[in-house]
Amino acid sequence: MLDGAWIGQLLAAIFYLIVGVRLARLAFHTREPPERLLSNLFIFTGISYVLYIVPLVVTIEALWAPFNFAGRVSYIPAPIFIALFTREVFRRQSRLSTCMIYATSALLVVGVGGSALVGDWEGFSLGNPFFWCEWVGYTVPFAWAGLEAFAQYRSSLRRQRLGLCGRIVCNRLLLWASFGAVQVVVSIVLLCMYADFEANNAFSASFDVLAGALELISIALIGLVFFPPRFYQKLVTGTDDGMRGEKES
Amino acid sequence: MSDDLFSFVADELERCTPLDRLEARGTLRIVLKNSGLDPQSVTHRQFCVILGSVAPDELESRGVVAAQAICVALIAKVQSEPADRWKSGRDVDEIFDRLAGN
Repeated sequence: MLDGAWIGQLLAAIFYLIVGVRLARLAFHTREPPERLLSNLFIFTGISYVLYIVPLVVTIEALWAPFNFAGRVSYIPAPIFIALFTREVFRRQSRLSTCMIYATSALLVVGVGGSALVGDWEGFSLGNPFFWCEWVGYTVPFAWAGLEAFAQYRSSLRRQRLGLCGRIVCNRLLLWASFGAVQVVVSIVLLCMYADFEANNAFSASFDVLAGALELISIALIGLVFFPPRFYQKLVTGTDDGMRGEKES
Repeated sequence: MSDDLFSFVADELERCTPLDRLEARGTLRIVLKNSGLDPQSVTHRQFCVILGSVAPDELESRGVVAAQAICVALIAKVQSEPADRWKSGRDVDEIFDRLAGN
């Protein structure tokens, strides 16, 4: 890994934890499930990132595998929470979405648990069938979230024409869809990264840079969804009062 | 008694027009789809807006006479009911508005 890559990962972890705590506060006030589910998603992501950082900064080799494994285990709830959020918001009455959540959970648990049982604690081995269970388990929920949000974005454009949906909300749906898409790209890049690692026994710097760039894009998208700066709201809505300018309700 | 808002409006539409049950529900579904809304999650306010804007043209195209007046009557009917009478799905727009702390 590139020297100092852990600093970027630590900042990403802090960012996700801040978003998670902010959403937890919102959920405390509203008592609504969507913000609670998202809060859990970002808190578990942040915790997992912190655990993944340890092997990058600690020189004791014996600690690398346990911390990588702990990072993998603590990441298991994150895709499950995004799948729960997608069902809660977009497909509340669909049985298929409930099946999707069970399938995702099973794949993640079998993937992480199974690879540990065969001695692959870090989960980098593409030759291990459990790796693929885990990979599908954490990729599909983000793809699903992206697709549902994009479909909803397209509907929201029609609602916007009737004055039923604000431009900023339309844009937020597009940003959320883009976040889902970027996470799928990250999963594909990780796949290539691990394949490269298996072949050369070292992580390539170019994949590191690519993964870092995608992480930055994810952070930017999440930032625009949950902490939209006033200039951005103004840009999207075309009004001085970006927050309320074109909002009907 | 209708158990959701969509069925309530569809029943009223069937009662006030020559459309049968299937036609009334089908027409309303098309109106909702064209407005980017879902029958399971459409809210009181959203239904009133589309009844006042998109629905009259759709009804006229199906040969319903005085579609505008019928829609005005339907709006009054919907508004006369308490908004919390029907269980509806989650309002996606409201959720995504709220998530940014608005």
